[in-house]
Amino acid sequence: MRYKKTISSSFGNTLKQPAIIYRPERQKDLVNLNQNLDCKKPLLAVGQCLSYGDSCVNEQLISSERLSRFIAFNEHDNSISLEPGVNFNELLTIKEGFIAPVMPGTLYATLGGGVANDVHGKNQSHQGCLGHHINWLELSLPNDVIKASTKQNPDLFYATIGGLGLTGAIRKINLSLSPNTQQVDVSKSYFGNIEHGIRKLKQSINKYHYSAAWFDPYLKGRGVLFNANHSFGKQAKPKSFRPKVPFRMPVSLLNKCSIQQFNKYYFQAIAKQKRHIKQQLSTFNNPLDQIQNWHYLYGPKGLYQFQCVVPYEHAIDFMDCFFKLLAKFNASPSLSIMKAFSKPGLGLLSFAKPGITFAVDFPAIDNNKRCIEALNQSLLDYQGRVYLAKDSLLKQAQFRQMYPNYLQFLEVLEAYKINNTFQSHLSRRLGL
Amino acid sequence: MKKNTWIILGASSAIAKAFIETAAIDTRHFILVGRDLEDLKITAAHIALKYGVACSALTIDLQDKNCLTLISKQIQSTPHKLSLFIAHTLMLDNDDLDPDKISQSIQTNITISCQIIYQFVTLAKKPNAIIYLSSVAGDRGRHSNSLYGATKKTVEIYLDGLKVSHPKLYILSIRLGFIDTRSTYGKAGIFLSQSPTKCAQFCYKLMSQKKNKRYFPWFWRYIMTIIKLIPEFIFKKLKL
Repeated sequence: MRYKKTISSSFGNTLKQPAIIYRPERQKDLVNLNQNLDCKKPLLAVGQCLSYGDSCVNEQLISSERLSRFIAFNEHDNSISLEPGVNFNELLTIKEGFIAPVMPGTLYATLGGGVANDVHGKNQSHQGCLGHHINWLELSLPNDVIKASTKQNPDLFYATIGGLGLTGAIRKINLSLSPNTQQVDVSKSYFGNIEHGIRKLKQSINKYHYSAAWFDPYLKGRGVLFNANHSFGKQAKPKSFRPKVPFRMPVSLLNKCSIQQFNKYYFQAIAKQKRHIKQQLSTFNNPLDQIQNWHYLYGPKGLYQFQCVVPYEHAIDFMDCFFKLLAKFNASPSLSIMKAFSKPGLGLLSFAKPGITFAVDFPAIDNNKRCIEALNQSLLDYQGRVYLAKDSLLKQAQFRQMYPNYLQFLEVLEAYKINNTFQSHLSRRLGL
Repeated sequence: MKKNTWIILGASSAIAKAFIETAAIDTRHFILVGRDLEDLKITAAHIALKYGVACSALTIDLQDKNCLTLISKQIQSTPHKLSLFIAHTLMLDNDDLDPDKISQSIQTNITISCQIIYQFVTLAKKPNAIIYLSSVAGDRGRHSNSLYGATKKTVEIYLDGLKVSHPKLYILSIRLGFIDTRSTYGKAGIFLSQSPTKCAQFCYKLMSQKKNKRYFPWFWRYIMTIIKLIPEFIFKKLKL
């Protein structure tokens, strides 16, 4: 099968390596590819490579770009079968009156990637992660095609949910859709510091289906909490115009000074807007999708994202430590978001557990890198955990403390004899 | 334009799949013809789910003797407007040829294509359109793939004649340059390849506007004009 030479890199653009990429166009191609390839070089199936970290970087890749069709919809249980290259945006529009139960930060991520990272949305407290809605998966392994669900090959199923693509190439996915509308009533409220924000966020999850807060790390975490519930009646107009950053900027436009100014402007702009508005679900849930290639603003060095989850009882203490470390390393975080989790993820390496999750972008410069490394270490004191889909800097020992199920995960790889077949830069870094 | 039925030959190819998605808004039924049943079934289900258009899959090896009978039956049994999209091809470089492969190439690219076209124009109750994916390789024989080019040109010339004898039937031969499909993916020397979706949309647009022969991407028209103008004694020395 033909392949193309390419540069394998992540969304954050912090790591690049030469690679070859196969692009099967039919299910048969994928199976043949897995059976005939020279398996001395490890493989990795990828979608749109929108993971921030190195979990989608490898020297031999299989792209699911052309495996992007819907296979069947079952009206009795609202389940849909599809190929791994279908993205969340397509899923949102396929059946009127139904939406994806979980929608990640970008709708252009593929469902295959969604399963591999057990993605969550702003409704994690109600709907959990994507893995909670998967009925079955079909995986292509070197010598076999295996179906996995909670009843059939459950060990492989739980390893694949959030399994970072290390358990084989996903051929087919079956998940349940949620019957719901495409529009939401959004309400905004403000908080003066992070402690206040965390309390407000925790309270709002009982009342609202979707909750997320933006905060300004330069002003003690003052910010805005966005809450939303599905609404009926007149449809909000979807935005048709999506501005585009035309090319990767020669230098990063985001530095401490510009970010501080932007944050002030953003807070004031939000304060001027109405507190209650009707919005299209995708506009509310995915504000960054409204600007194409926004990550090009970070220039050639790219960006890191630090995303962690900390149990509720430690969240405020951890954020104290967070602000201290920012000051110590003179770090320059850009976009900062927090959400609440209530349900632990199903997978052995799932990220979600009850608590508050903080996601903070950093331009990829040295002091930010050192700051993230220090944050990773400090998380261990607060029983926190780093999201592997976003990570580039975690150490093996830290990972093992954060993800105690890793041994079980390795046993599954051993049992299916795929421990060296599927790998990524991240898996080698963390000893998976 | 009124809704019609499409027979898609080579329905597993990327361009055919993209064309099916493009034409779905205006189609009552697709008959997908190809060898890979699993793939055809998935495409059929996808189209039915996404666009609410009925699709049936016909698993036929175009090298098979029975294939013409089966397709003829489909043509005869369709009472509505019927159109034909010909995307199947066997693309072999001259270096890879042997007597068997030459036969296969001629059988797939010429014989069966012309037979199906003949059956279509004679048996279809309401023939509407034929879209044939030709190639710039048919413009002048190159050392690398002249047999492939010849097979494409043969069918194109046959269709040129049918345009005269069947003036009510819309016939489009589109000469394709590099399209980003599985046969060009990662191949050395490929430049400015276009997506199958753009190609399909272009075909559909030409059909809606009843336009004639075109190159896609457009600049191949100029490249091929230059190549055709190169004198023979120079062309022989060039390894184009």
